[in-house]
Amino acid sequence: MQHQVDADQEGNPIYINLELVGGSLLIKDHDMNLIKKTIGNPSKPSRPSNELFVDIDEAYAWFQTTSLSNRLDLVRQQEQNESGE
Amino acid sequence: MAIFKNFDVEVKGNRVTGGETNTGVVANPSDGDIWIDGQPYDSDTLYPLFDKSCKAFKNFITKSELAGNHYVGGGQLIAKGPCLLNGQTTGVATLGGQFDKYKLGSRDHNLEDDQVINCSSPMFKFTSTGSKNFYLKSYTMSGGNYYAAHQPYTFIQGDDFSNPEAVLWGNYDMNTYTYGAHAFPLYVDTTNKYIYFFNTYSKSNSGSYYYRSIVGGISRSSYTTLESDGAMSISAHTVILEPNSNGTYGNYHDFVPNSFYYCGKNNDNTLMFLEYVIDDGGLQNQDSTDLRIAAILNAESYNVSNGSVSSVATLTTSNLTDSTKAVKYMVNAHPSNFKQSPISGETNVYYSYRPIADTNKEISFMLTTWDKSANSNAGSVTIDNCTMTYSSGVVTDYLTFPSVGYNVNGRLTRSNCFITKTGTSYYLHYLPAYGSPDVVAAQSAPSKNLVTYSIDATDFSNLTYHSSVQVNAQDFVHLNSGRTKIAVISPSFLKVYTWNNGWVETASESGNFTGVTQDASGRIIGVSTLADIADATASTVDANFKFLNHKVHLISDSLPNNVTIEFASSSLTYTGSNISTSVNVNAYNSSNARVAKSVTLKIDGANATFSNNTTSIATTTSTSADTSVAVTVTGPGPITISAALTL
Repeated sequence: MQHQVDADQEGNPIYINLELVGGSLLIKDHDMNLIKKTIGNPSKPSRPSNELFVDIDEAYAWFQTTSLSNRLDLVRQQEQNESGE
Repeated sequence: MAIFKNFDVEVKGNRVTGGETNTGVVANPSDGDIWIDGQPYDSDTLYPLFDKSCKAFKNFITKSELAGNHYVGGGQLIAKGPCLLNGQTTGVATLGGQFDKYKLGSRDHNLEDDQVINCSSPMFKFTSTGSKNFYLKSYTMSGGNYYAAHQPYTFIQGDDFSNPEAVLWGNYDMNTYTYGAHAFPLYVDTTNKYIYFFNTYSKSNSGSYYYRSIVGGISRSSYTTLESDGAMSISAHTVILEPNSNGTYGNYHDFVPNSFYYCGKNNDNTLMFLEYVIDDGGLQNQDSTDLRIAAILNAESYNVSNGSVSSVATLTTSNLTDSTKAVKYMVNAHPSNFKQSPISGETNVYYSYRPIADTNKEISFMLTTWDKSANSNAGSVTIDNCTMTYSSGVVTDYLTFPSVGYNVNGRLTRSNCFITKTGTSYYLHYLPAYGSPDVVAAQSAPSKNLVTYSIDATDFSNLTYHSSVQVNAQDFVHLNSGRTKIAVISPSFLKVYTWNNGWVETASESGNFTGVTQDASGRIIGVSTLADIADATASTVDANFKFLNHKVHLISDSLPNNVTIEFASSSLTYTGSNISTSVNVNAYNSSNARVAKSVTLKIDGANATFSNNTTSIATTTSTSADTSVAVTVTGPGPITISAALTL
């Protein structure tokens, strides 16, 4: 699964790539370099083991609660608008 | 107890200079000798020494300056022991100065139970794999109107500051973001040679958004040393853990919306970090209408070998049994140290607390449980409410929310807590600190209390009110690894409190203190100056120059309380021949713990001598065992041995 987080100077989208492996989520950058992985579903921690993501939809819903999902190009635009720059 | 030295620093504009090193008091790690205003003094006797320069700081004009009405920088007092600097005197900070007063970030952001002393100083120490000691002294400077200043640092190889093996002076910088604020070292990976920091930094690069966008993160810097690389260096900081719940900018300007903490290692050797969250913007205002966001705690681990990050837990208030207990911002709340569980079957489980506030700003505590072995040794983190029990009254009788208003007072305020263990009993202590006398004065009495709760050792979520004492803290520092003795800088006083089934004030010295430390022999040394720096005396020759007087105090609680001398043999019979025997010498502090002190022994009479064939000898007591001093009995009759302490 791909999720757009930015745009380059030509306006082309920059994606984050999401892969569900064994109930954990691998979060990779546009070039498929690993940024972060989860230990199961981090929003459902438990001992001795966290619950697992049941599917990519649940994992994507969790991903959207994190700052990694922010659209940086839109934030930059908002900053410029508010500061009058 | 006593003011034993004083010195002046020269003030011109906002620059502060003094002596050949521009430092106030420096303690030498190798021998305990101290420099006062650049002049060396013997550790034990405080007698002046000849030609012993503090070279570690001599070639670097240690950064110190006035910011508003505050003396900042960090050169006033430099020591590896517990060392607290509290630069503010009167007045509140201005924007830009608000970060400059905070020096114990390493303590507050490292939750390892056994690192409290090493982290309780703006000078961080680590030992290389080759057993060489290194010291990283960080300074905090005043910033501009919209940005924090870069931090200078001194990186020293070797224990002897009069003859350091190598010294590097520089400024912390970031290569991920241009607008780094302050950094506090938390952990050093001496194998891969990285220093890990808690950083505050801006996620924006546009004008007045610098402060609005400040957040917390974890960064690391590679380093080299003369010992193993031929030269000293510290690279620019690279952010490795970013805010998980924050956008890119927010509002002005009281406190950071998220903070990271280092816990220690999971059983798979990854480093475990916690991120406590209060808001999804940048720096936040403190006012009565603001509510915290649902996200409350994220746990992430870091693999030092391959740099991979794992998200272990992302927790919200809905993970609490009662989410209504965490509704308001808790002002700059720091979690307690992690304490290992004594409960059977919980060998790998550690507990920590953090204050939270409900909609009425009534304070309770959240319990964080870290299991180092869960998730196949990758670790797990869970949270829950604590059950708060008061045998009489309600929480607000003992503990009330700080009054900080809609200004930078909130930035100076910190909600601290820590756990102690006495025998098999565990206690949680809550101690707010307010930064400056003005902010202390703005608080009600219960909001200045040091409040203690007994912890149920079979269920750490059960807290029962134990006791409280009004402390009035601008800031405080732990004086022992058990956290049972603290020094507190209060308005017009430096005080020492000792835990003995209740906190008791065991020393009090008047003065406007800007620093306090404890040397290797247990002496507590304080530095005081004027309450209002504007009152510094102008030079009669050139009124552009002022002289700011400082006093160096020895605090009475730190002096040895008792010295004992006992013969090793309980019975000696002189039969005409010399008897070789010995006496055991010990010095104890006020807590009845052994301390290392220089003691001069004297024999009154002519029927015994020491090993030097005289009736006087100097020895140094031990912190761990009897110190045996040989004695030869040369004749019959009573033998009187007296002890004199050199301070």
